Amino acid sequence: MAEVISQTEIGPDLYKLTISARIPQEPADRGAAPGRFCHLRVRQPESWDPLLRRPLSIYNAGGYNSELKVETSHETSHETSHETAYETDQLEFVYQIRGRGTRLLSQFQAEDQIDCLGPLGSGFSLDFSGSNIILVGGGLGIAPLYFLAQKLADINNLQVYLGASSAALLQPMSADIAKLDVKLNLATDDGSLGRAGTVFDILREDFAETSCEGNKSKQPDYIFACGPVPLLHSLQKYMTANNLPGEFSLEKRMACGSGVCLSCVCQTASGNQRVCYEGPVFPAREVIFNGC
Amino acid sequence: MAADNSQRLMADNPRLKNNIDITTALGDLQLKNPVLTASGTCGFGRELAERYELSELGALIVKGITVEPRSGNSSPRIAETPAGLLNSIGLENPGLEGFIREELPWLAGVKPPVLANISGHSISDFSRLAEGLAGRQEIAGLEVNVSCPNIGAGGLAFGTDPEMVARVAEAVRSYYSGFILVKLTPAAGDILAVAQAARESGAEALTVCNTMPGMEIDIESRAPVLGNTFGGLSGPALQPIALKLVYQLAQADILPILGGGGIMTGRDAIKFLLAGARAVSVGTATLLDPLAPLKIKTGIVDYLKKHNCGNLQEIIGQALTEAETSR
Ligand SMILES: Cc1cc2nc3c(=O)[nH]c(=O)nc-3n(C[C@H](O)[C@H](O)[C@H](O)COP(=O)(O)OP(=O)(O)OC[C@H]3O[C@@H](n4cnc5c(N)ncnc54)[C@H](O)[C@@H]3O)c2cc1C
Ligand SMILES: Cc1cc2nc3c(=O)[nH]c(=O)nc-3n(C[C@H](O)[C@H](O)[C@H](O)COP(=O)(O)O)c2cc1C
Ligand code: FES
Repeated sequence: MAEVISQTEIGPDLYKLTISARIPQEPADRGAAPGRFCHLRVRQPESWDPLLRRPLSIYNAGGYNSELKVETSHETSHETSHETAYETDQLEFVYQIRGRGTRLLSQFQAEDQIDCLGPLGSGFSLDFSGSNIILVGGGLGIAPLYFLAQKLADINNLQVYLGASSAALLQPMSADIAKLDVKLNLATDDGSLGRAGTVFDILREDFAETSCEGNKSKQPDYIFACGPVPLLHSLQKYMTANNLPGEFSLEKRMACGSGVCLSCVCQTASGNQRVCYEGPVFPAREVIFNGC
Repeated sequence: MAADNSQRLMADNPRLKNNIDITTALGDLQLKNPVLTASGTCGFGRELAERYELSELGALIVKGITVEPRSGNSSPRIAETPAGLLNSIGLENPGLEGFIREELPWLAGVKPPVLANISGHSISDFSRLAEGLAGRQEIAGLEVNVSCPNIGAGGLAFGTDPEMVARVAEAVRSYYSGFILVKLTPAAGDILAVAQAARESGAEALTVCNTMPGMEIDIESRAPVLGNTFGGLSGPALQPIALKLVYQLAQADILPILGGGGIMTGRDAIKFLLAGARAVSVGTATLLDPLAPLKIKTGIVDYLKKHNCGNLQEIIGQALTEAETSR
C-alpha cells in the first residue's frame, strides 16, 4: 500500500500525483529508475470494477531528487512470511484523463491509500558521460523523460525535444524540464508554444540544418524517445537512415504488469517481448512497429 | 531467496501454527494446500518466484503449450469488461520442444507439483503432446485444455462435444500414464455429458472451468476492441457461472474437481469448496496482485479457524443438497 501525498490538476485533464510507496529493497533493481513504471489500482478496495490496474511512468522519484523523500524500514510480510527491507520512496506521476480508470485515479486525495504495484519493467540506459544525447517526447510520452533528464543532464550535453497538441498540455511538463541544464526545443500542433508542427518535424528541421553546416559536434550520440507510435515509427526510420542508436519506451494494454500473462507483447527483432517485463524500454532498432 | 529464513518465520507465524489441516487431493495428486495457479496467469512460474517461494502454492499449472511454437494473436490482446477481463492471448508459447528444452530444467527445481497444460488443433496434436511429456519426472501431470476459445481451428468445438472430448482424453491417456486433468469449457451445452466422456476416457479429475467466450466493442471506433475480435471472459464476472458448473458436476459426483473462475478472495474460494471442489485455481486474481494465491490461502485458513474447522475436508461439498442430484 502506498499513500497519496498530493494530487494537483496541472493542466486540462492533466494531473500530477505524488505518492509515498513502500518498495522492497531486494532485489536491488526493484526501485525507481527512469523509464520504469508503476501499476496503480484505481478501484475501491471492496470493488472489482474497473478490474485492471493502470500503468503510469515514473515522472520523478525521491531517490533521485531532494524535493522528495526516501526512508528505510523492515517488515515481515503476512502472506509470504518473509522479512523484507523496504524503502519508502516518494514517487510522482503525471497523467492525462483518457477514460474511466484515469478519471477515477484523479479523484484520489491526499492521505488516501493507493495500491501501487512496482516500480516495474526495465529502465533507460544511464551509463553515459560527456555524450550528446537527445530526448524526444510526444504528448504524455514526455512523462518518463523528466526523470531521465535529471539523471543525464549533469554530465552530458542534453537536447530535449518535446511536442504536444497544445501549450496547455505541454507547458506544465516542459516547465519542469526547463529548470534543468538542457537545451529545450518545443513544438505544438497549433503553435501556441514553441514552433508549430510535430516534435518530429522540428527535430528533422534542426538536424537538416546541422548536416548542411557540416557541424559534426552537434551530431547526437544517442536518442531516447517516448510517445505515440507514429512519432516513434518516423523517428526509427530517421535513426536507421542516419545510423543513430537509441531507446524507445513503448505502451501496450497491460493486465498483470508483472510478466505472467503475455497481454502486452510487442514484436521485436528478437521475437515477441513483454512491454511490462523486458520493456517498456527497448533498443530503438529492435522494435517492429508494423505488428504493434 | 532466503528459504531457511522463510521456514523459520513460518514456524513462528501464528496464522500457520494453528494445526489446521489444509492438505487435499485431486484423485491421486496429493496437495499440501488447495490453492493452484491457473494456466496462463503465472507464466512458467519464474516471475512469481521472484516475489515468493513457489512452495507456498498447492501446485503450479503453467502456461498452455501446443506442438509447434505460437506467437499468439495481434494486439490488443485484452479488454476490460464490467468486473471482468477478456483475453485473446492466442496461446503464445514456445511449443513442445521449446518447453522441454527451456522450461522443464527450471521446473525440475520447482517444489510444488507442476502440471503442464496442453492444447491442440487436432487429436494427433494432443497425442504428440502427451507422448512428448510422457515419463517426464519434472511434471506431476497434464491438464488437457479442450476449451481454449482462442484458436479458430476448433479449440472450442472439442470442449463442447462429449465425443470429441472422449477422443482427446483417450488419445492423451494412450501415451501418458500419469495424472490427467481435463479442463472443461463453460460453453459446453451438456457439461455433465462432457464430464462423463472425460472420465470414461481416462481423466482422473476435472478443472471447472475455463474462460467463457465474449467480446467488447469500442463505440467511438465502432469496431471490436480485441485484435482477435473474440476473447475469453475471466474474473469476477465469470464467478457465478463457474460456481454453478462446479456445484452441478460435484452433485453428479463424476470426478474430483479443481474449481475456479473469478476467485479473487479467500471467501470466494470457500464458495467453490462448499460447492464440492477439492481444490481451487486462481487466475485473474494473480494478474491484479501477484500475491493473490497466498492471500487466498490465508483467507481459507482464516475461515476454517473462524468456523472451528480443523480440517479443510470438513467443508468440501457442504453446500450440496440431495434435492439437486438430478439436475
Ligand atoms: C508503461 C506505460 C506507461 C504509461 N505512462 C503514462 C504516463 O506517465 N502518463 C499518462 O498519462 N499515461 C501513461 N500511460 C498510458 C495510460 O496507462 C493510459 O492512458 C491509461 O491506462 C488509460 O486508462 P483509462 O481507464 O483512463 O482509459 P480507457 O481507455 O478506458 O482504458 C481501457 C483499458 O485500456 C488500457 N489503455 C488505454 N489506453 C492505454 C495506453 N495508452 N497504454 C496502455 N494501456 C491503455 C487501460 O489501461 C484499460 O485497461 C502509460 C502506459 C504504459 C503501458
Ligand atoms: C491471460 C490469460 C491467459 C490464459 N491462458 C490459458 C491457457 O494457456 N490455457 C488454459 O487452459 N487456460 C488459460 N486461461 C484460463 C485460466 O486458466 C482460467 O481457467 C480462467 O481465466 C478462469 O479463471 P479466473 O477467473 O480465475 O481467471 C487464461 C486466462 C487468462 C486470463
Ligand atoms: S501485462 Fe501481463 S505480461 Fe505484460
